[in-house]
Amino acid sequence: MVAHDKTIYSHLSRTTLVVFMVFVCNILFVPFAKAFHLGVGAGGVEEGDDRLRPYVATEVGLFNEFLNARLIAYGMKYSIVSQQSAIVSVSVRPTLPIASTKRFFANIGLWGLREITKLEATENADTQSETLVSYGILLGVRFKAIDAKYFYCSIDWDGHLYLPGAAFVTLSTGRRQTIGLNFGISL
Amino acid sequence: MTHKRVLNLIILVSIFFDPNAYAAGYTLRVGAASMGTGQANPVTFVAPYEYEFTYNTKSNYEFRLSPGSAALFGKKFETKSTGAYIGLGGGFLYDFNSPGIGVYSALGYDFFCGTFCLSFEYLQTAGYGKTFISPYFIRLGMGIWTK
Repeated sequence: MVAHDKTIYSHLSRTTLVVFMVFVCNILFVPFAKAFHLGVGAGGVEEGDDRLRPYVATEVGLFNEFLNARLIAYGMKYSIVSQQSAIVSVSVRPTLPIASTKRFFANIGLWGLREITKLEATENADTQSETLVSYGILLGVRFKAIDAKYFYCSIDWDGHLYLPGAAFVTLSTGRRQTIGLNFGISL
Repeated sequence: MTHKRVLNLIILVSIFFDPNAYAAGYTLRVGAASMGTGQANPVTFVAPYEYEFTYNTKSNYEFRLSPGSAALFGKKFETKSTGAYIGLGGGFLYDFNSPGIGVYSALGYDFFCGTFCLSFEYLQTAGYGKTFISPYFIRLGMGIWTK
């Protein structure tokens, strides 16, 4: 169990580095934004089985929280099987009129997933790899727990729904659910 | 503000005794459910947890009852004249892994509204019982509105 945890976290540290690089790149958006925020986050992603896997994220928002983009990265490794996933989403966040505050938001948008599953080589088989690309609609809510002048902290709860082709007629869907905490700067 | 809260509480208690006097709408939805053992499978119309009955008061509070999956209470927030809405609240949850207590958010759209309304809704929940549970539902339905 200890070895398994170590593997997960060593994998996450690589992912964290990628997310940090994207975070730095996002700073390029600054000159073009009227009112923007820039943040990082972490939380759990659930894939229909009631198990939360850790993820890290970075996000950028323009036009006073209205237009947002987010990158979520997570992965896992079990024995010779490893999986790396990245979710990119673009969404709008209209404010919800709750308790006369402007801290609750709906989160509505589009998202795409790229997931690489790799089976490492064994004595009897070569390395095998499979890439899954999927996309769908994003529906969620956001609560800004702290909304200071230059700093924010929010709780996000999003359902990334993908539609399995014609089977959607039967309302069949898949989902990547994320529940996480974000914090960053807002100008 | 306090008197409004007291009034809302009175309305909530009252509807158990005289539902028609305080009801703004009733909605019955059916759809695909994910009960903690995988993604939402095609709707079968047989499983009771695929169905949900929602009772809305004139103050936009809502009671949701889905046999075998949820008994929830919350508030519905509508966007002006677009039909889109969000429901937020909490209550009792159940999926195949555990019963529990948790919160929900429902993002939906009402269309072709008159006395009757068609409704499409994504309901996500998160709660805790013996373990973390998070059933979700994609449902279509029809509502009757009196307000």
